Parts: sequence; structure tokens; C-alpha cells
Amino acid sequence: MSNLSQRLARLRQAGPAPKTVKPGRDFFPVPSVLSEPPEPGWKRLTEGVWERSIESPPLLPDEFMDPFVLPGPLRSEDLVFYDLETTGLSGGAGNIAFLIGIGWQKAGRFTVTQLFLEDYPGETALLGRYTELIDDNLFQVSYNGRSFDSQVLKTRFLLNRMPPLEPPQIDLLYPSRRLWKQVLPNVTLGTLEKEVLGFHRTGDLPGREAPDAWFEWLDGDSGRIGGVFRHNADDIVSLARLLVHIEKWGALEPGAGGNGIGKRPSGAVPSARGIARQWSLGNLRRERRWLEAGWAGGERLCGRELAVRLRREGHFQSAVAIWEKLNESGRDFSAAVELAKYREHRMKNPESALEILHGLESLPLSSRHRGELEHRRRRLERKAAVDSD
Amino acid sequence: MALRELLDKLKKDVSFNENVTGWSVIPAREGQYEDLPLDISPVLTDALASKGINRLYSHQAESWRRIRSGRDTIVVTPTASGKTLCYNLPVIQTLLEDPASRALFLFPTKALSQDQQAALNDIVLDAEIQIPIYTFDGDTPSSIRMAARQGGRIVITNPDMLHTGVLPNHTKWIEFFRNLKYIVLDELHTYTGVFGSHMANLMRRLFRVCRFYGSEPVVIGTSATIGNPGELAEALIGRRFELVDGNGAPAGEKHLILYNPPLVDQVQGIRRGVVLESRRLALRLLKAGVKTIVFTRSRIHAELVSAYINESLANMYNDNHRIRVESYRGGYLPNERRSVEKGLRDGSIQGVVSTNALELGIDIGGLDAAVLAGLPSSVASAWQRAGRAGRSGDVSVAIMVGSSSPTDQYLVRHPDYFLSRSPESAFVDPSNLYILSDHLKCAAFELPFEEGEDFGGDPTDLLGYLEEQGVLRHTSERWFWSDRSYPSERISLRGGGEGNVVIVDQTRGRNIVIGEMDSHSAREMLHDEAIYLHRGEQYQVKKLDLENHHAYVETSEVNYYTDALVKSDIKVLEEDRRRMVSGLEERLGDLLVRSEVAKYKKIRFGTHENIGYGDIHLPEDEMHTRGVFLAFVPDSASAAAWEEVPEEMKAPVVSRTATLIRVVAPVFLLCRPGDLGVAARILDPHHGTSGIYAYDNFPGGIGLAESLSDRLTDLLDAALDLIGACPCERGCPSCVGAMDERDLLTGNPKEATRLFLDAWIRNQ
Repeated sequence: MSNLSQRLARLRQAGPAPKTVKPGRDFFPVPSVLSEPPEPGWKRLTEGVWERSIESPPLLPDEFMDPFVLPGPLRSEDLVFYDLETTGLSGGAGNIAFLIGIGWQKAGRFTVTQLFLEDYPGETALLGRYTELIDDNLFQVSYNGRSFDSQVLKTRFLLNRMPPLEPPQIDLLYPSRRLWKQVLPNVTLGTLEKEVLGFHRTGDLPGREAPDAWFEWLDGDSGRIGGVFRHNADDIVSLARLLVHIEKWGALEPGAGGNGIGKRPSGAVPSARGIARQWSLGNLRRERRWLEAGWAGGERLCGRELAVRLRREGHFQSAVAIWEKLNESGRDFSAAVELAKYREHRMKNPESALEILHGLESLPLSSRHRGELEHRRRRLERKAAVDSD
Repeated sequence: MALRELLDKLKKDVSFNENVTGWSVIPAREGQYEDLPLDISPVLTDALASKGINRLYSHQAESWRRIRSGRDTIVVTPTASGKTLCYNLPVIQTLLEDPASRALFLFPTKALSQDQQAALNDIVLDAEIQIPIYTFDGDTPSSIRMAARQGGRIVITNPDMLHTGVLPNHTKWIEFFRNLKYIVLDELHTYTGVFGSHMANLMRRLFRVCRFYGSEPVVIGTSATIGNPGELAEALIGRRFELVDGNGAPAGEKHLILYNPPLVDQVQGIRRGVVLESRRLALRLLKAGVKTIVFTRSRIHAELVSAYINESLANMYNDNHRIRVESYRGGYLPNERRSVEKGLRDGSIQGVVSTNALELGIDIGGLDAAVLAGLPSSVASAWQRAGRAGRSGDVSVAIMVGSSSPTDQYLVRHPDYFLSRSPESAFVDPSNLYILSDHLKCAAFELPFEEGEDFGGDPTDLLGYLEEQGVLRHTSERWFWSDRSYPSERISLRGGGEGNVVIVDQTRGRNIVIGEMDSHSAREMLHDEAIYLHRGEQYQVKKLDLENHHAYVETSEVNYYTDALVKSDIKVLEEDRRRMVSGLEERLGDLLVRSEVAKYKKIRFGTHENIGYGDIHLPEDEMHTRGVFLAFVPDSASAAAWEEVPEEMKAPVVSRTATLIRVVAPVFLLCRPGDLGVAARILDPHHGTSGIYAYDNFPGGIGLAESLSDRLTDLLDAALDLIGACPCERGCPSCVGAMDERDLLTGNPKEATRLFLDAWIRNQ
């Protein structure tokens, strides 16, 4: 590679301007000593690592007695909320966590502690401090941490030749998706804050700008990094609030209060089906109650689900009643098919099954459904012909 | 047997022999065997015995010894010589002895991976050996990926997946990398040119990650017979290799026939079509009961030839309709391909028409004859295709049918070329600045660079350059990746990288990507209204959108093709070396090639007459590359010959000489016809002399032009042969190119060029 540098020099000289230069990056001289991070409260912990804590009044009850999304009855001090800011959004060995935010509630205060990586070489110290703070027995609560944040941390530990921590994960993304996917346009943490927690951030720095903010900080421009600190701290607080909010929905009995739903939490109302699905992971009795309540309140998906249960339990009449109601207008594919099955196999009446299917033919159907319908219709016609012979 | 009788008949057939330019017979060879090694596990012995293998070919035994003693080994053997056992046996043996150990198998294509997984399973499953084998590529479902990472003792993948999937996520493969004992690189000879230069850098990244986890895997390579397998392996891996190249497998008698279709137009040098002639020859073989494979150059030809053959055989009055011929090409689903392979083995299929999809080591069982419709431009590849016939050890034949391209016309007239010449050498340039810096980015993403760390040399300057570009940060004696992107995602190993143009077929509202081309070539071949030929199908370009890297095309049926007129302006950035070679002075250096395509010609198919012009509106293109100026310096053989060229013929002579160099180059270097750019200069302003530029048509260069002068004497001889043997009068597309009607020449340019070359060579 002896003449490589010469070739490179010529390339620079004759070549067009580099394509990937970040605008403005060249204009900031790199200072020999990085300045103090903006925002109050930072203390340099060791070489390359800054730490600060922000305290607030408690956000969580002392104890969650009757857990909904939590894996069992837990005290608040058993939980730790966390969120990372990273240099890339798609993972891989070159993606670094430059800000780790953790939150917990102890002795009546909710504390957010942030660890900030001043520059790359401080990473080992940053991770070391993190292991001092976090204990493997704590449950880690995150938003999308199962597939992103915990994986990034694991990679960072391995690359720094440190044993990774693997505390149990409680990822609120999955329950949130079950509860609100039907009723909200998306289930990002930002949307949930607004629609569920009723909380508007002002002057928030969008999370996707975090990598560039840190690269600017490295180049001596601390203009945007403060926004990342606030964004991260806000995310931690929102996580805690979201957990409390979700657990409130868990504590609610359907039908309490007379109008199907009792004294309900504020903000967007989750689908009863969503709540039922969440309960299906731990408490089938409550799942059933929510399905019934949902159906009573007109949620068709709850009706479908409920009818399937009833059929399995042998309560055919109750199931049929639901299907008939669902297919009142003759336009519900799955209910109609269920009814046709019932008439064919239970009532041994292929003609009446065919009648139901005929009603479906004018519907716009997917090719899979159409094929299924066609297949069923032919079989029924054969049966009907044999019967009439 | 049927083939022997047919060969006797062909020998006496006057009209057939008129077109035969060469007929060689390679005598049968006995196999050379050795006993199974003493240190082989009984489980493996049993597994081999169940397949009827009780001894090894000598090269398999030799490979076993080298690999088992921990040497990096490259096995060079022809098709059908039991190559896979050379690496499968020692690898499985080690994996049996050391239950933690792992192996990585890299194949250049996905189809080969699947084939090799089947070959491995064949040994492992029958013997109930507990070694989990996984194929890990783009088709692997995510449910299996986790199992492959954690439990795969042998992981089979391809370079592209290693590049974008495995290495950037190496922390998910810790156990694998820690215990990696072997890396198998099959079909090494395919890693040449740009792909090879990427591969060499990918290997640097792979070994870097291995070092991080403390493993030092042994590398086993296999290669077809090329001129410099050891050198290529060394360039790719950066280590010295031990060569195993004695082939101990038995082989039957083999006939090699070179066939040049008869001329139909003497003046313009037009011959009967290669596809038509190949069909006729294949039919003759099939009707005589000879199992035959036909190789075509494009997918569409494969389909056409098989359809035509089946049509011709569909005569109800004789038994021919029982002969079944299938086509086989890339793009078929694995089960379709398996059924053809099975049909060939069990005898229900007698013929197969294939593209080069079958050239690489996919097992299709025994065939007796191969017909090559068009000669492969490399000897290595010709042997691979010819080697498809004759697996059973009986007599076999390969008939190579020349097309009218200049390379084919040269090769078909030189039967000795295939037999006595050493095959061409493969070149890679791992220090191509563009490719190297792309992989430095990926490597920095994977692990920070330490100061003084090696990456096939000292990368400090280039790391500094990347720091200036804002993608690395240099601090505390290390360079860290400091960009939000995932670099390997944007770097393609098989093309020019970021600038590739995607070709989209929009015929009747279709929206299908049919190919990719680097933006440099796209300007010449995919400009608006260009006729683009892709795998035998004809398209017209509706719109070239260089900014967004798209070319939109529709199928077309016009009777002409287009040829862009490129004006290139070459600036010498720096000269590195001057030396006298083959009667001229070679001046090697870095070039800035500015090219402008402003016009194109429309040329009628068949007659090659020019039927009009069109304008092209594209901005100028710039490329930094490596190249040589072949200068006719005073007192040299070339200058003496040059002085004898009449003044008004100088321009046509130098441009035709340049054309000859371009078309003959692929015969000597493993490259495609367009890989080398040439430009003729009556008087070059920089060098102050007449001469010809030859440069790599890839940014940064890939080592082609640099190695050209070593073969320049052979190349000039070949150029003279080609021009002398071509029966046309004033030049045709099979030699120096057709006459352009704008050439209002007093003399005959073909003859003048011949005289010039002849004098040059004689003067040396």
C-alpha cells in the first residue's frame, strides 16, 4: 500500500468534493477538551462519563398487587425503567449507546439517572457504571427494549469484553399494541403520550435526530445535545406513567359502573378485545368477561372470539346466536362460514347452508376467501344433490 | 456404444469436417488411488463405504494430509473429480474430534450453497453424525437464523450475506467465531475483477473479526484450472497457500472439436448463426442416442434451443419423440432444477439446454456430449463446460461452436489454444482505493481500528481520509465509526457500488427489475432510446434517470441496435512507471477519464449497416482509474511501423489497432469484453507521441491494464492472427469492426492495420 497515500492525495486533488461530508461538520474546530454538557446537574463521573439525576414526586404506587402486564405482584422498587439513545437506528456492531437513561422509584421519589458518553473511549467506564447501578434482580421496563435496547446493550458489553447483564424484560410495546392498535393510528410512545396519557411535549427533539446531535457534540457543537437529554428523560417518565395507566385498565372490571365500563382511566379507550387478549396470557376468566362486555358493547371481534369459545364448549345455540347477529346483514364472511358449517355438520342441512353462502357471493372477497367459498359451495352442492336423489 | 459410432461417422463426414477447425483427442487416464487415511474416524469410513467409496483419489488423500496438518490449502482440479470430498472429509473429521469447533463454507451463489448442503447432508445424515449444518442466506427464515447462529457447526453462506448480515452483527455469532476452525472458499476462480477485489477486502474483515475472538481458522480453497490459482488465493486471503493440483480421478477418452459455422457472406464476414448450428449438432447427437448438454449464452437462447429441439424430435413416425430435452437455467426453482437433475440421472431425460448456471459445480450426473453455442471467453470456463460431458469415464465429446464475435473467431481458429496454452490468469486489486475505503468503513463499523493495525497494509492514510469525510472519529489511538448509517447496506460486492443503475422493465405496465449496471456503462448502453439487449431479449430504453439510478425499458422489436459514440478525454494524473515492452513504451499511472456520449448510431442487425443517428443528452462523466499509455516512442519497433503508415491512414489504423486490443484482451485476462477501455491517439498532447490508452473501466482500477503489458506480445500476435485469418475485405464486426460510411478512406483500413501490426511485430 506504499503508493496508496500518493494515489489518495491525487484523488483528493483532482476529485470532486467528498460526497458524504456532513454539512457544517468541517467548520467547527475540534476542541482538545470537550466542554461540559448543557442542561443542569451533570457531574463528570470518570474520564469520559457524565452522570446526572433528576428527582420528582412519585409516579408509581408502592405496590402492584393485581398485575396486568407485570409478571406478578411487584413492588415499585423492583422495577427499573430504561431507554437508550444510540448512534444508529438499525443495530449492528457499529451502533453505540451514547446516553443511557434509567428511572426508578425509591423512598417516595421518582429518580431519572442519565449516563452520558462524552466520547467513544469512555464506553467501558459507561458500561461499568451502568452495572453498578443496575441489579440483575430488577425487572427492566422499556418501550421496544426487547428487540432493540437490550440487544444494543448486549452487543456493547460483548465488544468491551464485559459479561452482559440479562435482567428480565418488560416491554410495554407489546401490551400497548394489543390494547390500542385497533383504536389509534399507530402505537409509538409519542402517540400514546398524546392520546392515552393526554400529555404534550413542547420543543421536543425528535428521537431520530439524536445520532446527529451527538456527532455534533463530538465536533464541539453542543447545540442539539441538550434536547436529547430532555427527550430521553421525558421518555423515561412517560414509560412509568404508561405502566401505571395500563395497570389501571387491568384493575378495571368490565361492566362495573353500569355503562359496561366503570370509572375508567382518561384518554383513548382500548378495545375490549385488546384487553381480553392481554388477559388471555394470564387470566382466562377475566379474558372471558372482557369478551362478553365487548360484545355487549358492539365489538364484532369480541363476538367472533366469544362464539368460537362457546362452540368449543358445546354451547352451539349461544354461538349460533352470535353468528346470526354478526351476519344480520348477510355480509360477514367468517360468521356466515361458521353458520354454514353448523348447518352442514350439525343440522345436516346442506341446502340451508348453501343459502347462507349464496348471500356472500356479491361481497368483494380476497382470492383466498373466494377459493375457500367456492370449495365449500361445490361440496355442499354435491351433498345437496345426493340428498335429493 | 452410440457415441463411438457417431464419432467414427463424423470423422468421415466431409461437409462436417469442412467446418471443423480443430479435433483433438485426449486419451483416457487411469485413476490414482490411495487407501483411506489411518486417522479417519470409523464413522466416516462407514459413511463412505455406504456410498461405495473404499479408497480416495490421490488428490483427495493429499488434501487430507495438508489440511489435517493445519496448512492453508488450495485444491485445483477439473469438474467431476470429487472435489467436495477434498474439504468435506477433513472438516467433518475435525468437527467430530472437537465438539466445539465450527466451519464456514462460502459459495459464490445461492444455488451452489443448496447443492453443497445436500452433498454434506448426504454424508452426515446417513451416518447419523451429529453435526448441525445450516444454510444462512437471504432466503433463510428468521426462525432458523437464531438456530444457525447458535447451533450451526457448519454454516453455508455466500459473500454477500457475510458482508451485510454476518460480519456487521458478529456479536450474535460469538460462539461461532470463537471456535471457527475452517473457512472453505469454493470456486475461488470466480472471485476476479471487481468482485474479487471486494472479496479480498471482505476476507480481511472476516479475519479481523476472527482475531478479535481469538480464532485462527485454516482456509481451504478450490479452483478450476486457471493460470495462477496460488497467486489468486494469496491475493484474496493475504496468506501463502499450499497447492494440490495433481488430479487423481480417472477420465475417459475425450474428443474436443472446434467448429466454425460456414460463411454465408464472404465480403461482410457473416457466418451461419451459432444458435442454429448448435441446435443442428445437438439434434444429431440426440438422435444417435447420445446424452447431450447444450450451453447457450443467454436464458432466452436456452429456452429457444430446447423448444426447437423438442419440436424437431416430435415426429410420431419414428422413435425420436421419446427423446426428452429440458432447459435448465438460473431463475428456476430448486425443485424444478432437482427434477431435471433427477431425470438426467435416472435416464428419463436425454438432453439439457443450459446457460452457465450449470457451469459451476452442480451435480447433474453423467452426460456424453457437450455442445457449446458460442465459446466461453475464458479457457477455464471452456474446460468447465466441456467437463460436463464424460463423467462416467467413457468416451465423451465437446463441440465448441464459434459465433461471429472477434474473440470467438480468434479462438475457434486456434485449437491449440484450448489444449496447449496455459489458461488465463485472474487478477484482483485489493488496494483499489474505492473498494478498499468502502470496506474500511464496514470494518470500522464492525470493530474500531487501533493505531498501527494492519488491513492488508497500513490503512492510516485512508482512515485519515475517512475521518475528513466525517464517517470516522480518531481519538485515544483508535478510529471509531461515527456515522448513523449501516455501511455494508450501501455497498454491493458485485457491482460498482453506490452508483449502480437499476434496469426496470415497464412493458405493459410490468414493473420488474431485470438487471443492474454501473452508471458509467449505463451512459453508453442505457441512454434514452438505446436498444438494450439483455439475456437475448431486446428492449428499448424509455428513460435513463441517472439521478435516481433508474433506467426504464420496454421490450422492442426493431431491426437495429444502437452503438453510442463516446468521446473520451483522458488526463494523466500521475505516472508511476515507464518501461519498454513489446516494441513500445508502457507508461503506467492514474488517469482521469472524462467521457461524453453525445450521439449514437443505429445499426441494422445482420448486415451491420448504419441506418441513422440520434442525440444523447447526458452530462459529462468522470472516472479516476488506473491505465497504461502504450506509446510509439521514437526508435521503437512500433514507431518504425507507425512511420510506414500513410498519413491519411494513420487515424483509422490506430483506432482499429485499439479495437483489436480491446476485443482480444479477454482471451488473455480473465475479464469481460467491456472491462478494458481503450482510446487511440494519433498524437497525444500529454505524452507528445502517438499511441493507445488502455484503462480499467472501473473507478480506481482493478489491475487489468496494469497486467496487460505482460501479455502484450501474445496479444499483438493474436490481433494479427485475427485480422489475417478473417475472410472479410475491409473489416467486419468479427475483426477490426465494420466500415463506417463516414470513413471516406483512400486505402483499405483492414489491410493497412494488418501491415502495421505485421511490421511492428517483425521489427521487434
